[in-house]
Amino acid sequence: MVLDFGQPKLYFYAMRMATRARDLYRKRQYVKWLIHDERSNRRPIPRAERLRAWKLGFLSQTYRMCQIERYGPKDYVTDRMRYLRTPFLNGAYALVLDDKLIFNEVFRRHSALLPEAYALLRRKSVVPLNEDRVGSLEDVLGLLEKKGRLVIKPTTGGGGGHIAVLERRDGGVAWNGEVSPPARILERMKGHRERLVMEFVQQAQYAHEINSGSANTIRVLCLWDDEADAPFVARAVHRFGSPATGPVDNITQGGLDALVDLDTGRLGPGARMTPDGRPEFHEHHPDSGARIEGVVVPHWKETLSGLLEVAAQYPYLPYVGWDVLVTEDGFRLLEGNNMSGLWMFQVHGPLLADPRVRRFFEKRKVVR
Amino acid sequence: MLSQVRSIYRKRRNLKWMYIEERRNPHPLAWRKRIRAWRMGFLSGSYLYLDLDHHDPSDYINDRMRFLRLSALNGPYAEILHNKLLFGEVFRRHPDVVPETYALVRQKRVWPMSDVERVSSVDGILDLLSRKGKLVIKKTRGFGGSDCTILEDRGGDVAFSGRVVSRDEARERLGSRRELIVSEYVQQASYAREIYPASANSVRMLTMVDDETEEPFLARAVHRFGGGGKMVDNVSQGGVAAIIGPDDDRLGIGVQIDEAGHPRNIECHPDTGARITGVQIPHWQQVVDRVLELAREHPYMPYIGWDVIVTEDGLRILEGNSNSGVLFTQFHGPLLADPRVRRFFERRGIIPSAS
Repeated sequence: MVLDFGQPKLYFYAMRMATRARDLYRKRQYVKWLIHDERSNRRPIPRAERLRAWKLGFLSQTYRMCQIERYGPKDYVTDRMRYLRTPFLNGAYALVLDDKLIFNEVFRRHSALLPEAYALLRRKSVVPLNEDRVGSLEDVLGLLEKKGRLVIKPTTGGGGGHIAVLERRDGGVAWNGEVSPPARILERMKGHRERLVMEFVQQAQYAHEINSGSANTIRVLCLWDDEADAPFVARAVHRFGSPATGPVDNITQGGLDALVDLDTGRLGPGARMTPDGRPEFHEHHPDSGARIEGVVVPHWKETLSGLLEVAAQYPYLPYVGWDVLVTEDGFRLLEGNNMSGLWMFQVHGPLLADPRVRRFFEKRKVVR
Repeated sequence: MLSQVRSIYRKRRNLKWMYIEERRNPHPLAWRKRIRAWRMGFLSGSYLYLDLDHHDPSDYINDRMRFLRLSALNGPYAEILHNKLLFGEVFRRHPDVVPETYALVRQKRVWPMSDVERVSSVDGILDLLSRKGKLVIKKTRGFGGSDCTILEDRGGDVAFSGRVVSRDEARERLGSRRELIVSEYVQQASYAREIYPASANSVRMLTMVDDETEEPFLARAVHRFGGGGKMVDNVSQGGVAAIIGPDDDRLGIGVQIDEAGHPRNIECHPDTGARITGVQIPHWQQVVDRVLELAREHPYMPYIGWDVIVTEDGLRILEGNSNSGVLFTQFHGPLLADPRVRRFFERRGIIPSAS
């Protein structure tokens, strides 16, 4: 046998090494998040169980919430897939979803779909984004005076963190319910992060009754069906906040998540995380006592078809977790997520049991 | 060390472009001068074209700034200008100025992108071509006019930027694995056709934000015309660059690069003989106002080099550039001589502050 160490082969190996290094570098952020999310799970989970979870590709939190120990890992999309493969499904266009300003710029052509973005808060300046011409922090307070409520949202980063609801109150302005004098609010708005000043959208009565303190959104997982050449909804869950979550509906912080029947819009029981990280299903919201199971989301059919109609116009975004807020007369799109959390869907059953979903992930080599 | 590697990795694309641009320079330059150019931050082509043997380089924006720092001016939003699909998506809410994008070709598939014409296959593109006569295909990424091809219907056959191929070959070339967009061909106004009909002759309008007034202003407008029988209006490929204004709506002196790579002032187009200097640009003030209005509506990108085609009844924007502004925009004088421009760059740390 003759070994060929000629130049083309060497070049080939060098290129392959470079590609691997680049690949790792590209994934570094997601690996960091993966480790961060595992470390931030402070629930009392034995090390042996954590190891079992990691071995199967799950974070300990997902492992417990989806009850993998009980049902087995079959048909579940693992966290390894989620963190290391799904972020690349939208390619370069992930930026459209990752950056809320670009998201707003791209989707604002659909009238009355997005909440209005008034201004961009940058370190030293306030950049007006619409005809209200909000150009200074004082203008933001002036606008708040007029509108009553505003939302301040970072342009990057997910999980509902750092979102603030500003509210006009007697004797000052409330920042996430905490009343402060305007000077203090101005100080808080001057943070380092780039943030958007947006319209506060009033949710429909049914959602307000279940938990009035948060914007209770529906996360709709939309995938692209290559055979039909159109998007389809893989699963939708309605999330509800609780007094512990503040203005957002984050489940890890004490919120609930109920499966939405795609045909009827009927909600299933709400899953809530117990202190030891296992799911607990509730027919009623444990804090407000309002019924969740059996509630039908108003104008669900129109919402779903409207959302699919929008998604169909963006074939370069084949994988999006949309955050939809149902209002009295329709729905608003709060944001799209490039790397949507999946355990909120899978707590109600594995995603890959649906052949269309499996085909989508297999074709894109997320599931191998 | 690690942060340096990371910084170089982040700028790898720009460094690659810089390297390609340096290698593309067809004009010989003595090594001594070449090294002098590099030390001053210029590529050898820019050194020749801007005639830096005889001009003070300190007021010029150099290539090092252009490739490595100017993109940072628009922060993460520079990507909107780098990616032509994204540019179309963000600006499509101004339908009066952006040419229609009909389709996106990706992984050998065609995705419809327009509400006006639904094109969902390669044959659909060819059908649209036979109806429209001309279409433009662009790579979504890339820079310079080289990524743009004009498709023309020639009685059943298809011409790719003038080169006629059969319908089957066209089908094969269109079903590309690379990401392409298919968009409308914009018909330029007659004044531009008369000067040089073979190419789409665009105006590069450089807008920045005046830090004193916080309003955008037009730093420079330069009209490019094709030349040398080429279908692109690229100055380094035989084209001509002529400044517009700044005080009126007429074209000034044109500059062409001669065979040795030196700039040459001209008043008439060398190929067609049509007069350039003194030609009035129709409704120029409206064009300027509209471009400034767009800059105002997208204030998160304070530095844009717009490629504008003046049409009979308005304007069309072909693309925006994030790191524009070295070569042909400075043929008629250095940009930093304008105190507003200097202030803009100083405040953003692109050039050291004079004070």
